[in-house]
Amino acid sequence: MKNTFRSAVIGGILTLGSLYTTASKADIAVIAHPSIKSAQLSAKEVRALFLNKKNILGLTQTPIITVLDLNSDTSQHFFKSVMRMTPSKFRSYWSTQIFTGKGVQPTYFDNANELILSVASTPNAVGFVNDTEALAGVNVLFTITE
Amino acid sequence: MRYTPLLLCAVIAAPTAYADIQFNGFLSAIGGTATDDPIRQYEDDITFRQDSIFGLQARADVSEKLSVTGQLVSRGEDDFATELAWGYLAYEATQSLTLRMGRFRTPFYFYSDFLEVGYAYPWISPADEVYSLQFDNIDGIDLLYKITLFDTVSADFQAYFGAIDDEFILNNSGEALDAQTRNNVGLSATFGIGDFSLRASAHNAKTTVHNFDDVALPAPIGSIGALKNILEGQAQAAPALATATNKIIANLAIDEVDTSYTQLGLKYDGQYGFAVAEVTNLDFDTGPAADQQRFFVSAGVNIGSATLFASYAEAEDDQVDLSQPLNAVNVGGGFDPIIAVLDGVSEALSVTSETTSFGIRYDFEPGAAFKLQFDNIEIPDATNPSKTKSQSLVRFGVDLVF
Repeated sequence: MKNTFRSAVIGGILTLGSLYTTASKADIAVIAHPSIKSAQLSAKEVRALFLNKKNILGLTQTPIITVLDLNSDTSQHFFKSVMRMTPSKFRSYWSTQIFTGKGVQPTYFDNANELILSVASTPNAVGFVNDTEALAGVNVLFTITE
Repeated sequence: MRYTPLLLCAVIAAPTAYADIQFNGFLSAIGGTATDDPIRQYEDDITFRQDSIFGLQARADVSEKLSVTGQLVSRGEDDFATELAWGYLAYEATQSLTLRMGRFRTPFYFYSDFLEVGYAYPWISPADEVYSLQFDNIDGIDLLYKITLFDTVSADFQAYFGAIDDEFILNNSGEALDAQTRNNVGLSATFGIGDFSLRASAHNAKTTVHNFDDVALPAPIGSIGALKNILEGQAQAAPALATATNKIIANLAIDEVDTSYTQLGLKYDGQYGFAVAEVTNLDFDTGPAADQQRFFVSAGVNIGSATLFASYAEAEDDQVDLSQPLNAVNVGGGFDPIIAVLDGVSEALSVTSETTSFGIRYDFEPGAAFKLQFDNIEIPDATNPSKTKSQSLVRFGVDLVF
């Protein structure tokens, strides 16, 4: 009885754990304004794009970077597995760009729907969201495949 | 008068009608204390002034290619007086070429561009020895060019021309003199491969320090001007000394002195840690100011949201031997007081110090970091020049960007 209870608890924890894993590891989609016609990007190219290190998309103007609230699960996942840096490091990097006048600061959104709407309606805009969102009116440039 | 608020509203509201204005700010609230004698403007009680800074930057895009940037900065060390640190217009001719005109940061160092944005680096402030030039901002024109070479190397070039009018603060007394540099030209190149970057820069200008004759000297001489008069008097009394004293008098002025500065730095900034080394050299063609030779190294590891770091910085300036012409002609002992004063001036215009630092940066929020840093500073002992004196400084605070 005791053992059954224990295994039930362990089983429960495992199930919860895997549920949690599924929820937090939802896949990421990097999206862009529909005018941006680019081949699928590699993770390395996504890193360069979000740090504005290279003209990855071949645009004539600087891309407008949009980012979900840095404390959100989607952001945490994106920065860890794609950007390979902490959200703080990203913020710190961009502060060096902004305060040198070299870059236009990323736009931060609390809400994925607002971010998608903004990317869909702003030329040169790129962003990332959880790919379970309805991705209407945007081009998808990259998805994490796990 | 009663329309002033309305006018202000109009001024604030008007540009937004056709230009998108972005505001960004940074703040450093830093406290600190010297554990022994006062050092680097810190006392033996905790004060919160020296490294505290508040800055606000506004950028407006006038058109697709033209933008205006202004940055207002209040520094604790200047009694929080607000200064227009930057104000320039930028024309982005192409994605890789930008032309700027106005007031901007003089690109002396690796961390020049964000010198005052503490959030951008792990330390409370970049190494004191290296980041010591007093002409932080320049009025002029520059060209920024960026390109990717061989698909892997990012290269950033900056070339500028300009002039600076600023105060020159003397190391020891804190006396502020009006100074200017003219015909400033410089070039910097930064190359990045992955997490590594290499930066080299070279700069040249004509430096003038006004009223150098007014610099105070210990009694009974009183000032540099008075010292020059004494030397002239000596030359009249003993014409054989005139060559030596004239040489010294000529050297006791900073007037359109050809000045050059070079910098070389290497940096690694990766997922698990960072390392940086930077060496600089400042060379005055003539005049009493020492040739400055400085470097620092620093490294740290990232553990979660924290960075632990250690640094070492050194200043080993090459003093100008002002009394040399007198010593060379073997003047009598009667000149000892003058020679001592000249040696004092030579020393006051140079820095010898070694700083060892340890610290931690903890990012408690994206956009906010807590920092704690301990510095051990070795400087020559004023009472016994053959020995060094060890002093410590503890600083802590928060750096924010918003």
